[in-house]
Amino acid sequence: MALLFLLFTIAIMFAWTGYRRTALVLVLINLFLCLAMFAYHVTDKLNILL
Amino acid sequence: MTKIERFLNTLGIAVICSVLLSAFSVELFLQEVPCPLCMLQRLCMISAAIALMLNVKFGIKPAYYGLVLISCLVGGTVALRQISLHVCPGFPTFGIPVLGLSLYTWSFLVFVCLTLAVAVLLFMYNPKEDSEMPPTLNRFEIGTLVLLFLVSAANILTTFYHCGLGPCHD
Repeated sequence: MALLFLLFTIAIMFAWTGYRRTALVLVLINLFLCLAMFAYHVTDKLNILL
Repeated sequence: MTKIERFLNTLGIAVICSVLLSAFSVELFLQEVPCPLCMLQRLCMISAAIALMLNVKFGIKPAYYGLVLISCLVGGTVALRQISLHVCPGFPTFGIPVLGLSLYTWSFLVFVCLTLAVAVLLFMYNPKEDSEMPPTLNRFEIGTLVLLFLVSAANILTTFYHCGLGPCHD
C-alpha cells in the first residue's frame, strides 16, 4: 500500500516539474492499481436485497 | 473567470489536504490504525487533488476534471463498501466517530461534494479562455501544492510503518 502512496507522490513530482502527460498517465495507472487492491481486500460478498 | 476557477481548484486541494491531515491527526494522536479501505480512500483523495493540481499548474482542461470524477467514483465506491459493512444494526462501526459520523462516512460525503463541485466548475468552464501558456503560480497556490506533496509523502512513511510496501492486513 505504501508503494501506491509512493507512486502518487512521484506523480505529484512529475506534475510539479512540468511532465503533465506522464503525471496524468501515472495517476490513471495508480487508480487502476487501487481498484486491484480494492478487489484484493473485498473478501466477503455482501448479500443485500434491493 | 479563469482566476476564480483556479482559486476554486486550489481551494479544493486545500480542503482535501485538510481532510487528509484530520485523518492523519486521528491516526497519530488517537492511536487509530487505518484499515486498508481507509487507505484506499486516502489514495483516491490524493488522486483527485493531483488532478486539481494539474488544472492549477497547466491551466483548466476538461480531461483533468474527468480525472477528478474517476477518482471520486473509485473513492466513493470504496467508502460505500465500507459503510455497507457496518450499516446494519449489531455491526459496530470501525474507528472513532468524528462529529457523530465515522471517518469513512465523512470520506463518502467528501467524494460526493467534490463531484458536485466539479459539476459546478464544468459549468463555469469556457474553452475560449484556454491558453497554451502555463499560468504563473501565486503564493497560496504554491503553498497548497507543497502541502499536498508533504501530506502524500507523510502517508508513505506511516503506511510503510504499518504495512510495509505490500498490501495491509485486514
